[in-house]
Amino acid sequence: MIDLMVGVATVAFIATGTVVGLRFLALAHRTRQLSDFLIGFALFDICAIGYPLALISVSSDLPLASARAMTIAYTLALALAWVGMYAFTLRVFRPGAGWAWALCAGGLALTAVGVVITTRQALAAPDSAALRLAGESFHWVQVAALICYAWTGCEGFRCWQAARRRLALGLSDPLVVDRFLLWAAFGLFAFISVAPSAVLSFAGMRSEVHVAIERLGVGIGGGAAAIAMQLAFLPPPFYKRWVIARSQLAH
Amino acid sequence: MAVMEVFDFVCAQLESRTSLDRLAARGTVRIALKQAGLDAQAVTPEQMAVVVEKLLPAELASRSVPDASSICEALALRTRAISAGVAQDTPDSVFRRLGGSE
Repeated sequence: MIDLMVGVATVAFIATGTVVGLRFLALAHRTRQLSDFLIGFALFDICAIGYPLALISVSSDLPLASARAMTIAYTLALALAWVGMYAFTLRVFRPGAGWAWALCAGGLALTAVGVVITTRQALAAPDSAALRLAGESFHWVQVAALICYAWTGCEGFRCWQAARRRLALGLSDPLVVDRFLLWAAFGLFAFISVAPSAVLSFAGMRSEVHVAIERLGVGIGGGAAAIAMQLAFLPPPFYKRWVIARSQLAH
Repeated sequence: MAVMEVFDFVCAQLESRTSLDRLAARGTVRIALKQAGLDAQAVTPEQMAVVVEKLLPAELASRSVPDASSICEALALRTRAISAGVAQDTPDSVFRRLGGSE
């Protein structure tokens, strides 16, 4: 049952993120706006490159050299994607805040440490078991991702609260207000999808129960994050109608 | 006109038309902007005009400023006449664009 839920959530997250990311990259090509490019790059890189490579590297019987290359490739791809997510959050929500620049610098440093450790261990791994251990060092990068997801989620929530007040004065669009809340939900659920894996591998807990908890996090968090992304950026017409009608009733 | 100048313009007008001093005028406008979910550094003339029209009268009245409604009505008209200048990339405009609303 958990396997099915994790499978569906993973496919949903990868598919939605790939489509949304591609859409934002096309938008960035038209608008020439850095923020559009950063979020497009981050989502596309996570969903279309990083996670698929990570799945292949752990689930197939690859020769050692290929598995090694795959481990380094997914580490780099996901690290770059999360750097893009940091840059997007900084540029859109807190471009002038010193503490936000410091947070980004900390996130980048953590990511760089994770990439260096994982890459060195992967290159030195004499066999598949050692290579799997190298993959465990990826938790440094995951911690940087957790901070970023929590941060971007909090910013989304803060903007949602302000946008609700603007909406009451007719100064905002109900769909944009709703999109902020969905972005906050995306941050929260993406956090939930990564947190168990990061915490458990940091603590070196790899029993069957721990793996099940990790998969549950991926299933619940990944699936809910995919739904939030879908409703925020590719909403079906009935959902848009519902958001607008709800707003008209409230004001 | 740059966005921060819209805030400065309204504060200066308020200072000259009421008994509020500079600090009180700026504080009052900031409170009204906060109630509206807006930021003094990113507010556009149109948004400021709405705030002046809908929220500022009550704020001025609570500070015992006489004739608050007519002062705000005139100030909103003048604020609307300000040219918006180059639009800033705000979270609102980015999320509007990302949702395909622009």
